[in-house]
Amino acid sequence: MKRIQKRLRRWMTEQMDLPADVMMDLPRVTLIGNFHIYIENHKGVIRFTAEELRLRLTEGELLVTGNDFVIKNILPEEMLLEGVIKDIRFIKEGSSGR
Amino acid sequence: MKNQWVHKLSGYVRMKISGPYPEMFINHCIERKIPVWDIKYHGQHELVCSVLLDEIPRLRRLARTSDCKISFIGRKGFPFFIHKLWRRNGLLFGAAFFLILVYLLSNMVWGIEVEGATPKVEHELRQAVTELGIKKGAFQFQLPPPEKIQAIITEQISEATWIGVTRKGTTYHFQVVEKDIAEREPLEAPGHLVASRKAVIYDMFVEEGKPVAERNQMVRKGDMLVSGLIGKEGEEQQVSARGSVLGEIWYEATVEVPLSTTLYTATGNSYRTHQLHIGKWTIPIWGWNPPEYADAKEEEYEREWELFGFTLPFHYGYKDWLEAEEVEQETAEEEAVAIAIEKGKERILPSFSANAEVIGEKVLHHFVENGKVIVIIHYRIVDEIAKKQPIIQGD
Repeated sequence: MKRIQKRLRRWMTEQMDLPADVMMDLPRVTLIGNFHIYIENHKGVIRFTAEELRLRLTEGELLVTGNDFVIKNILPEEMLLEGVIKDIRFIKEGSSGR
Repeated sequence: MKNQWVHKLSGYVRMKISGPYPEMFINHCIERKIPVWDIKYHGQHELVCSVLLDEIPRLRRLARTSDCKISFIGRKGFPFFIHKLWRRNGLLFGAAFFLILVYLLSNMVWGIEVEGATPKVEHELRQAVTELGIKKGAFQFQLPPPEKIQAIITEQISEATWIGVTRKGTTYHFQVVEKDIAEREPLEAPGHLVASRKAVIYDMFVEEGKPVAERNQMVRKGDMLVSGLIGKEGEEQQVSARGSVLGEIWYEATVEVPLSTTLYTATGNSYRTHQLHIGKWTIPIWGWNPPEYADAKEEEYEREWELFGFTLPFHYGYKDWLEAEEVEQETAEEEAVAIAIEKGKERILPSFSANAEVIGEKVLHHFVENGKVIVIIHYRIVDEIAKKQPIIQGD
């Protein structure tokens, strides 16, 4: 059932030219230079240190690495991270991050 | 994102979360809609974040159910600032005390100035004012308003016509206008009135003394008009003769009036040049080739510009070059005579007193010579002729 729903959504996005993040509950990541990263549609923090931020997504995880990380603000659906960002990586569900 | 100053107003704390999995605690907070910001990594199993002061009870409850421990390490914002200020309340009281002191001192009387009074009146005024309570160190709000003081003081001090009372800051100004008690004229020395010039008496009015001359009588210079000796003959009293004696004086004047006069008249041709004046300098801005007139008259127009009461250092002006023409004006003989009469009057009147009046003029003779009319005019002038002469003792 869930799979059909997912397919339907993907099809609608493709056919009706709708923004993917709205239709499919995908994260929207905005990067300002290398010091601000704005992430919408996250599903919670898994790990946070000064060098690493790991977020749960609808599917998989998002890994941001760098230095001097500070979460400037965090809300149920969005967050703003400050620091020197070096790498942003998507990790598939099931595989180990580290 | 919320504005940071909102947090500052309601107050917030830095909270340390320690436990095996502090990220979970943050997630719980977000789920429960507890605003959390400025999260920093503080070593393994330790995070530091900012939370609102109002949310602390909820956070404690949340901490109890989770396996994390929370502790507060910093207090920030307005409520804490007030608290801090209250602990240093000496400073607060000092500031308040200072303000009150300044207010009180600026509402005291620190000076009394008296203007326009003689030392005697000033002393009286100062005494009266002190009785009213206006002295150094008195509070102004205990004193009546200046208008009332003015009324009281003006009534009390009889030597003054008017006393103006004004308050300028901490100083009371008293402006005194003293009564001028008219001085009596000193008794004049006894004397006669004599004629100051040759004249026919036109009118006389004697205030004191015995008139010796009559109306229409001719008097010479030095003749007695009013005697200062009154009373029976032999036992006369000496008084100061007073009065006014008007005499008619004849005066002959010879006046010359030229028959032709040279005048300059404008032909109507003109040329205008425009200038800008900056300080002392004049910069022409239009009108470069003024025509060359044989005779020309310049007329300048300038006006200073003002802006909010200040005179601007530059202004505009223009100059008109008016072509002029020489015109000979012929005057008729009769006209010249009329002019001569007026000219003669103007010339002779300065040698009489200010009250002198011309009661008649007659042209005796006139003739033309060298393009001029020479007119001999006889004037009849009425003027004061009485002059004081003291009675010489032992005369």
